[in-house]
Amino acid sequence: MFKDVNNKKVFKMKNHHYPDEDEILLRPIYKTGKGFYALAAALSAIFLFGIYRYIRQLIFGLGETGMNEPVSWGFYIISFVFFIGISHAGTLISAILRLSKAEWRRPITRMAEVITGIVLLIGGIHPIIDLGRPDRILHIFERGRLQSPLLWDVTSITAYFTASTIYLYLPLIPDIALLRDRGNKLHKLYKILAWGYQGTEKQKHILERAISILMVMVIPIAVSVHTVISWIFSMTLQPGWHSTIFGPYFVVGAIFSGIAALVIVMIAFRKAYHFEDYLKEIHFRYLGTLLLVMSLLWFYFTFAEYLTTFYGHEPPEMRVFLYKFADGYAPYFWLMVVCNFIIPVVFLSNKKLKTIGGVLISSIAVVIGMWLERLIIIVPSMANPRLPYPTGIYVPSLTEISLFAAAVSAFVLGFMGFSKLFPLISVWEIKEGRKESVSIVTERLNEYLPSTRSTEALKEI
Amino acid sequence: MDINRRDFVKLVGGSLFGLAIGSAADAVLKLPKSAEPVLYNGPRIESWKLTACTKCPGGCSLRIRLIDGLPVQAFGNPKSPINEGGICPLGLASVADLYHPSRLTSPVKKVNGEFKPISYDEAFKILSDNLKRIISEKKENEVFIVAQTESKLRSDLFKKFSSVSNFKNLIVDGFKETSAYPFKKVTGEVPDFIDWDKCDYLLNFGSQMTEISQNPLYFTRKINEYRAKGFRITAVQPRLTPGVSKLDDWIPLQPDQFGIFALGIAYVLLKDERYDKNFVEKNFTGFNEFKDYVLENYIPEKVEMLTGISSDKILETGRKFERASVPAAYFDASVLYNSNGTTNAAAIIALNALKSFKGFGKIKDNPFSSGVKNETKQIEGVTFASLNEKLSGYNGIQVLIIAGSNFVFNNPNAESLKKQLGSVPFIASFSSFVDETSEFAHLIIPDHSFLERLDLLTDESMGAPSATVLQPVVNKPFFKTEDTGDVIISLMKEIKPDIKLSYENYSDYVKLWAKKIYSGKEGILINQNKPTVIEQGLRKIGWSTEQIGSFDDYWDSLMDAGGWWNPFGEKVSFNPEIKFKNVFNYKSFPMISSSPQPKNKLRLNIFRRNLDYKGNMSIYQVLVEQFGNNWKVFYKLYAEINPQTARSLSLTDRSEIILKTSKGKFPVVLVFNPTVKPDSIDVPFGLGHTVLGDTSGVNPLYFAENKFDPETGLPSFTETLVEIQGAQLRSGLLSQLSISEKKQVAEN
Amino acid sequence: MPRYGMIIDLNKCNQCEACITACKLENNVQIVSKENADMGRAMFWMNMLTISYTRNYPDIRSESLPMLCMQCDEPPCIKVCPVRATYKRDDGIVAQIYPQCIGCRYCMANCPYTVKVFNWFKDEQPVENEKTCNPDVSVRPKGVVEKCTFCIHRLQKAKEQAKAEHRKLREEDYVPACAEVCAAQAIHFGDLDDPNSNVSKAMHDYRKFTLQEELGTKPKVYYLSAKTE
Repeated sequence: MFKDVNNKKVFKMKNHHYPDEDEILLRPIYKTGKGFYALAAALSAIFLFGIYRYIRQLIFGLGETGMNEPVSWGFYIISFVFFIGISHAGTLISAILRLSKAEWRRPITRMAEVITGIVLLIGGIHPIIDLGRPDRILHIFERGRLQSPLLWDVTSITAYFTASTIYLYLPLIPDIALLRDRGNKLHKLYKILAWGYQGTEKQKHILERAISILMVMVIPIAVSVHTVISWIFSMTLQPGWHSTIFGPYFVVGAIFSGIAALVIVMIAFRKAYHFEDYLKEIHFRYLGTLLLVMSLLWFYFTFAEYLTTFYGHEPPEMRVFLYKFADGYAPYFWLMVVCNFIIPVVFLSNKKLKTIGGVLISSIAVVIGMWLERLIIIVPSMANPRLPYPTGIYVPSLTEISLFAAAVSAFVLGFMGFSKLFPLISVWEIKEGRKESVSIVTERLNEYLPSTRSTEALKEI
Repeated sequence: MDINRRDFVKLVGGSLFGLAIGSAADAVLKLPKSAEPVLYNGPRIESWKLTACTKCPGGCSLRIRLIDGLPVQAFGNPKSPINEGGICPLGLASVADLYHPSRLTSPVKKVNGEFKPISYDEAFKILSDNLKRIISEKKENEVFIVAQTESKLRSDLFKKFSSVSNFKNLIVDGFKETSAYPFKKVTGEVPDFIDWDKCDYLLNFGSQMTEISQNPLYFTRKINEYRAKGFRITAVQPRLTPGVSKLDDWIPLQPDQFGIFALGIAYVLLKDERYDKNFVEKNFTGFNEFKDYVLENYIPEKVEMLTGISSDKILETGRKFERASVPAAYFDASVLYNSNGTTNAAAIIALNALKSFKGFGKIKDNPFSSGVKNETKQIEGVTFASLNEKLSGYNGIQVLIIAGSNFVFNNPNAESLKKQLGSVPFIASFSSFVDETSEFAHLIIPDHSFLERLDLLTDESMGAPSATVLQPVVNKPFFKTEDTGDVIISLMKEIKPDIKLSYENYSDYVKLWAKKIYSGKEGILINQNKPTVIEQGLRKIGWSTEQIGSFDDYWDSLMDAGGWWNPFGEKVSFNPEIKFKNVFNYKSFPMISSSPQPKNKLRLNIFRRNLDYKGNMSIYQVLVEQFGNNWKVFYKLYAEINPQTARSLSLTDRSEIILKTSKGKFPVVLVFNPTVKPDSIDVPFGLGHTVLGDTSGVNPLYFAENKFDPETGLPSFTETLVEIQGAQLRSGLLSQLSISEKKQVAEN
Repeated sequence: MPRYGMIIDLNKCNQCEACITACKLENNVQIVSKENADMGRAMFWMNMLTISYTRNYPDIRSESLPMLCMQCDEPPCIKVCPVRATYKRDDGIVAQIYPQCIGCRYCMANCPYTVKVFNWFKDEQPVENEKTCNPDVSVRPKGVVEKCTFCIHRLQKAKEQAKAEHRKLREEDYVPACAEVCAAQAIHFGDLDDPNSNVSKAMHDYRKFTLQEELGTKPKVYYLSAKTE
């Protein structure tokens, strides 16, 4: 849709007038390769198949899934927790990096925020997919009970979605303005979205002010979202769920999987859109370090969680514990430990292995591992009720698997779509960084570096 | 009418809300199609009718709930002395009989291997012509009648038919009849009941009293009362059945060793000289020989070696039995499902004789002890043994009449039985459904469902004669079915036109039985409260407040009340003559009938559950589903195994395995049950029908050895050895588990 | 206001499972297809559950009990319901509003007794059972959670009957199906607050216990443990 001859002309003309040093960042918006269409078609097919399975589920009922009694929550809830977890990549990481004034954040924040937006939407839909009566969804608003953790969830996810979308949108405005000025087929859209941003001092000041308010606000919301999701589980009496550690445990896990997902996305687009100049190895090394820290933190939480369970040795808890450690779910459990702890630690604590490839491998491992963690939290507890019923068996059906595949492809499709509308790396921030970073950092460093005057003063004494 | 803004908002909101509710309510109030006419069109008048249950020997009184005249649910009749409002799963499910999709709706005839509906007259003509031909050819001995009924009236009618027409080969396949068989053989007399009021120790040999017995619901209550009094029951059973799990004393023993164990107990009594000497002197022919024989052969240590029950346990049980003032060693038909069943039963009878049958009793004036007008010449009937024998011979049977019995399903020898049935020239059946047996019939005249029939179900097991009324609860039969009683009476008239019968049809016949109650002028209708002690006393000296009018009035009130019983009747002790020697040579008493179990094989113990009585569960899907609910193994055969045994075979819980017997292989789902005997594998009976109702699962009996009790011809349920495919039993493992083998090794 | 409760005397119970069948037929509980039953979706409002085995073979005994909704006074299920589809009535019965349920199955996840069941598919009944459906109880649509309601429709009927006859509700007027059919008369049902009711009388027994007392759910279904002689 960007291949309109007229627009190309416009583009060329504008380009001629204003040559841009970050042209490569804007190129995906104007040029689309064959590979893009092929991939989009493939993903759309997967997505549509998922929709078809969902329609079947709507018609025939939740029996289309593999859920049963006592395992009455399965893939959908796992996906829900998993995707919402990944959403923490974004806003939280970008907010923290912004807040800590890490200058290397500049090419990363945009992608992180986009992940949040897309994945939150996908994750948020999952509880609705999981409903037996999605036609009655409005009952939640008509006669919702605020005492139910599910309602807290609805509230916090909506709040987070709102906040993170705005937080994505605000730093996008200068880039939209840039695109508007360059002219494009979607000129009108950009015109509306740019809110008349002209880059004046006053506008810039207001924008920066808004961003800094939001980035402070978004952090507690993000933390609350995953805490509340963990509360869905920990507020119940189920063995293996009823634990105070669950809130921080889920938040740590969420940030962990979020960083991993961010790394994967960055590497993928770095390769696809040739962002090598912007996303340098140093970025991945920094993110790798962050991932390593989270991996250790995750292990600490996991260890604390299971050690207390084991020492408490309550029979119902132990039934779940043993099911995870030695029985049916042992392969998944130990695979999770390998993915979430052993692989990241081996790859990321070793300088030789901490290359882009190494970081990618550990990130992929972490995403798989964190998905397994959600599986291991949800299914074994459901399968082993408190009373000695036979252990439940859960095998996901085609519907659930295809809806998971559809969710993943929706994520990729969303990202691809975004990349065709807006730059994936914040152009204005890069420009700003190029212009101001060195001086700002020098200034800042000077602020807290001890001056050489002190030695002179010593001489004087 | 002026509407302000607020009202308007309310109105709109309300109607939207209404729409939402409307659509939701549509889904919520969706009743099955068949219920729609009742819900929307019918006046929806609820009514209740009393009738009885024919699903098992118990004969409970039922309250049927009808909506607009259609039976919907069944409950127990709280006034009934038998079940006092209780009901079992079979009874609850039984209403579905009436509406069952695979029910036969008219007489059918087999044409080219398929059943074609024909008129009743035509069907009757075919049947009577065949029988007349047999009579004219003087081949009466080649007619076999198999009647499964728990109704004494019906079985008497069959006996009458059998004696009138000279078709001597009648098998009454009823629980009470079968249970009585060993008693009849050994003593000639049958006790009516166990005296729960006096009995203070019950040694129960293999009877699932609360599940499948003469009167399960009555026994359920009585055993609870009995235990509440502090008396004990020792259950000798291969399996910890639900009834046994409440008892303190359980002796796990395979049924083929019951006789040895009973005689081991007898040894203790004889050795301690604590048996009723007067009684044995008078009534026990050849007692001294018996005594010598037992004292010589059934030394507890020896019994321990044979059965694996420790001699201490035998002594302990023996002492309990001898010290009890009124002990009873109880058994019923279930003990007979074994290759030496009758011998075992005889041994148990002998054990009772040592205590002069104190635990048992007889009713003095039982109006039902003799047939109607005492005119029935009691014929003995034959057993399945002769049927098996005849069927396996060439041209043994010309005509086979099957009434209700599904003996093919209840027989391990089904394959050859099916072949043999295929070669019988004429088979007529009265089954309501096409089942594994009646599928071989050439002609089926389906009986009414029990909700469309009239009958009296008589019973003595309460220590009081009782008769529960089975009456039609629907105005007229749903389909073109015919009461088997009526068919039999018409047949009698048809083939012996000169016979004089005092009844024209089955309902007349039932009324004649009711007249016995009426003319006896004793007892009360069951709609009255249970008599108090004072009332009983007054009754005994002749006081009565009841006004009894004409018989027709009495009949109506009997129908309304749902039954009659006589709690005031006199009970007498059961003092039979034991003529052991004539019937059995007790020298052939089981020393050990079965060879010791090979060390690398497990015993296949097929057990029955109360959801099923002789394979009648499959037509009720609600029960078939419930059958699997215990272990959550649905519509599949499960096999219970002791976890200890399973672990040594490295088998896991809920794994699907293949069991191998000498007859073939069949799949089961293995479940761990620590109450199972370590050397056996327990498999429930009831699944695996091929034509009747639900056809899921496997009938384990088809894979059992073809072992039959030579006396009764009943198949053995527990004498098959089984291997688990792919799992080799380590030799020596079972010897660790069972004491008997250990002892044997020590002796060698 | 009465507070309905139940006591099951395990010493009397013979595990005949009539209560299970009665419950299933009384409440038109779905009989699911074979495939679904095999997947673990069979629906039972009442179950026979073996909770433990005592002693060793051959003295081993199984302790089994009829499991139904415990009708907790502090029900964990209603705490988590987002739409008030399950709630506690004034008479203590934990009831379900099927048209309100959104099918999130949160209550199932939070039931420590695992007694709630879900309609995975549209209602299925074998043909012979369609005709014997109890017209007093609606068939639940697909996608909602259901459970034992102490046969609440019977209470409704009994109340109307009593009202029509201008009298108060008597104890024997309202009994759930399981208690009615119990042949061993092991199930007592009635008003726990009425000191003269059968239930209150049966409560005075040292054998009384509730399942998972430690969770503080305060079940209104009590058990009397089997006596060991």
